[in-house]
Amino acid sequence: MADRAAAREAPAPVRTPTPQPSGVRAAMVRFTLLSLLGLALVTLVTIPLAAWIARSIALLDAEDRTRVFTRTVAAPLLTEATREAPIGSPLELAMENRLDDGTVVHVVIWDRDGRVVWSDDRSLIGSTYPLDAEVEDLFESMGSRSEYSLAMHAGGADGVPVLEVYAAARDADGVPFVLEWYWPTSRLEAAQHETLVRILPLTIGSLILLHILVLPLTLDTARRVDAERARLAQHATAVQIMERRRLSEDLHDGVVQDLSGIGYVLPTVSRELPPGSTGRGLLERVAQVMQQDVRSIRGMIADIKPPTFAGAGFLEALDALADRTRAQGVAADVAIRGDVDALSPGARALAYRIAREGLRNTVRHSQASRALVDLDVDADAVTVRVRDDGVGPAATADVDPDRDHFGLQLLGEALREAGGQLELRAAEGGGAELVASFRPDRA
Amino acid sequence: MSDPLRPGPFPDDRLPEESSEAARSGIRVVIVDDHDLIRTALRALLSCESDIEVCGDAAEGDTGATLVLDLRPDVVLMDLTMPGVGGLEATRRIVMDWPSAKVVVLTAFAEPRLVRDALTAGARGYLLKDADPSAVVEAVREAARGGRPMTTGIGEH
Repeated sequence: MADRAAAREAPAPVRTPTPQPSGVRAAMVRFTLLSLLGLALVTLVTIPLAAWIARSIALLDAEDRTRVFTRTVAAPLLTEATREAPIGSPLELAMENRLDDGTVVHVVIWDRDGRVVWSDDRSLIGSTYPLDAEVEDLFESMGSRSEYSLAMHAGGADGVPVLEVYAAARDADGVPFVLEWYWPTSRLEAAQHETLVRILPLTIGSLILLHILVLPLTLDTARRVDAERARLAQHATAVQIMERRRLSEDLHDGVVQDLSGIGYVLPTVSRELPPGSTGRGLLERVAQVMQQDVRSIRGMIADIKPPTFAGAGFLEALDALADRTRAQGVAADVAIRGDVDALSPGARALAYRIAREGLRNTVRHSQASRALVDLDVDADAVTVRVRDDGVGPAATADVDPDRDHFGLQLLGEALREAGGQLELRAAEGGGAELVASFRPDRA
Repeated sequence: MSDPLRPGPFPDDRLPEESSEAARSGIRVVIVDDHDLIRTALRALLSCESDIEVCGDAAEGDTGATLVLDLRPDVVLMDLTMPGVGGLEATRRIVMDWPSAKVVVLTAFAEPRLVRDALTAGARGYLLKDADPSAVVEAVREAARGGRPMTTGIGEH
């Protein structure tokens, strides 16, 4: 029970590198999000645009129809006799037919003086109102004008949206008049709806079609970029390995050999000098320093020389890693479970890299005295744990994330490529624990 | 072979005739190493010892193996990495023809794999070049006595 309680109280992971999608997935997500955003924007713009187009068309249509009616129907029927007795005149009959079929809401016929010659509102007939300047102009131009209006002049109900059209013509006696015609907005709404129905599928459909057509291209480009990135990374790694190998060989074949040779020469030369002389003492001291230098260069060579992972090389590389960690003051051990021989060179290299990064962190930050690398291999997953008995990850306040976690970030990226993950957390019972796992078939 | 680093005619601690006497009855050593300075320095170091005589040296494995089989020295100091035939192959060739040859590897590499390969090839000992020069001299004597000199820390894994 105590163990279970301890397990429950184990501190939560303090640093978990945020999982990042692969390059291809990230590019596709970005592309889809941008496409959806574009779609939404186009829809937002299209709806008012369609309404505006429909309104413009409806206005032009209403103006055209009013002008034609004024000149071909109203003008011939408006005579001196009609002016005198508009009630029951052929003009009123023609107008009432249009009022009955619902194509007009309200009609007023004006003369130049602002007198109502005829209106469906009979109370207005014979009344005089000041004309707007635009209407007065029509008596000169014999043209027409229209607008979308929420109010009806010269009677009618305010607040009802209507199409207001004025058309000028000369009556049967050649006297100019202006016909004011209020069209119902039902036509406008129908036109607006029809325009929207026609335009919206066209614009949105075009965008979707474009998206579908561009999608494979985008996917292909993203894959190419990703493959190129992976190839460059591999190339960089290969170059790095080659350079490290060359450098270690140069050091070994040049400096180490020369210093070793000089180290053998010094005692010989020393014997030539009188025992107890300053020169002899100095040479003996130089010989000691030379030996230390050769050892330290040999250690550097071991550090920079890329390990060989084929055959027994992998286990020896892990042992050598533990040796170097021990030389740096942390007693490190390696424990292995599972069939290591079945691992590919890539999987071995990745497992080694996890162990190296974990032990490097331990040496740098943990103040630990012991560390254990635990490698667990099975067919589906390789898990590497590096545990230490140090101060734990939460206590390493002096860690510089850019400098000290760069290695972990790079390792995290490599692990994600191999379908794995990485976590640095407080270990149960104290210390830090780096736990990383990956799929051996993807490493 | 001319040797500018060879000790002078009157070393401080022995007389020349004593040295010659010892050399004639001492441990005969062949050095196989591709580095001139190492060969020269080792020759100078070992020649100072009254009981050791360097009877030959070679700069690569092929001629080294031939020289060893020809001279039949008491001890062979063999480098591992050399152009052409390396130290492992040269050791194998020597031991194949002369199983009682006492080949001691003298190298800068300490990898367990190399130690194992060298011992499998027939080497009697394994020394690191950064070992104390006196340890190299002692290792030659130990090998000559039939021992298996190893630098401390080598072969523990």
